[in-house]
Amino acid sequence: MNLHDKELRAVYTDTIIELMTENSNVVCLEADLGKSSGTVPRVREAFPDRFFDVGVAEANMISISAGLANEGMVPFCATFTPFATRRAYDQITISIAYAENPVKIVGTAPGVTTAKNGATHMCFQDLAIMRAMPNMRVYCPADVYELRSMLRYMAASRKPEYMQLIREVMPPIFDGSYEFDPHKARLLDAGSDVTVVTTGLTTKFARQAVAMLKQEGIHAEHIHYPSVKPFDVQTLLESVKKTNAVVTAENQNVIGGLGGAVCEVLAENHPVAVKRLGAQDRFGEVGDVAYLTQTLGFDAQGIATACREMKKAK
Amino acid sequence: MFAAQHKLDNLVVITDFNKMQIDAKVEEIISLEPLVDKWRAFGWEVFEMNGHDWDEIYDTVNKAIKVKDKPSMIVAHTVKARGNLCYENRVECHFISIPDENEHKRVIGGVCAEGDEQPFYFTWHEGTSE
Repeated sequence: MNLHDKELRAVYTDTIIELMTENSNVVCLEADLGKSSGTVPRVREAFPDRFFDVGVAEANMISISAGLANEGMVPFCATFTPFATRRAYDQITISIAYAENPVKIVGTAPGVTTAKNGATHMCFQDLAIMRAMPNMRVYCPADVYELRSMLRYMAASRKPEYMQLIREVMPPIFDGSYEFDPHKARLLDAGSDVTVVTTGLTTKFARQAVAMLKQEGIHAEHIHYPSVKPFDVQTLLESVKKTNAVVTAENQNVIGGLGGAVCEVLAENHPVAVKRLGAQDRFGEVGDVAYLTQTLGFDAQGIATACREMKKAK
Repeated sequence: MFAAQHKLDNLVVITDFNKMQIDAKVEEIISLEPLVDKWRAFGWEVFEMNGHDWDEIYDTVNKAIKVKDKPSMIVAHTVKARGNLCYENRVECHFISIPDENEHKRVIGGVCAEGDEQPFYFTWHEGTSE
């Protein structure tokens, strides 16, 4: 099976099994959502001594992981994004970030991809709150190769890290040669009319939007950020000096996440007009991804429209 | 702890105790037992009942609302997805996707797929304390 045909959660599980095979210090934790992350039953059966399902007790999962990391283990702990971040925020802050324990937190089903689970599970704030935490790194992979490389990087990094994990199949962007570097954004399309900045899910929509715009003679420069923190300042500034207009799109609230990071960098270095796409400071709702992204305005059409307007306003 | 400290006898809580969670049976993950003793230790008046029996629910709630100076916990022993032979008391019943009319008919009709295990039944009688 081609790797690009696989669900990201299957690649998460495959890679965790590889890492656990190679390194006996790697451990896997779940909080009653192992089937959803993909690790139940495969990791549970392959490594019963290094797999821990703590039940619906996320703060405890974080505290246990911090202890394991402090003793030299490399814990990967996963659950839905709201429970992986906001529910256990104080434990993450004190026992992982402040104590510099290298726990790998995986937030599954980010933003609208939780779809029919609705607003309670639809976290639009994890990028913002995790980014605001000292010592914490924040990643959002957009395809299988990036995910695999990122997980290998995380297993070796000895840093506190948070990663969003989309569970479904994602369209191909990279190949086996891809090497994740948190200090390096990826230029996916070159152009001079407007800079489009995306991460995780929205990278897929921006690629569609950029292709649509090309047909109309609008040349957008598309930069994908696999790491929202650390943030690659140089790549953004080089692009913006050319385009002088920016559209950001994220599967999050527009406050404090990717759009926030872009605006902070630009305000201090090279102020230009920015349009932030994402949830406009509102909660989610029940629906499928197509409906939700259209309603919230960050699907391919929404990104294309914003790019046209930014070009027109120049 | 707050409710017991403040003697909230107008508070009656029901635990829907179906003994299941998403990944497995609760006792295979982190057991809650002895659940009744735990609530008693927190200063609550505790009742147990069969959560599928209307008369028992009516009687137990009536007893609970008469308790003085303590909050009440009713541990309702239940069976998850009770009444549906395809999913009753099976781990996979937490989230059921019914994509089309045929699957809807199958699930509502309780026609189990070939190879499905027989459901596991749990019965509770007054005096047992599982």
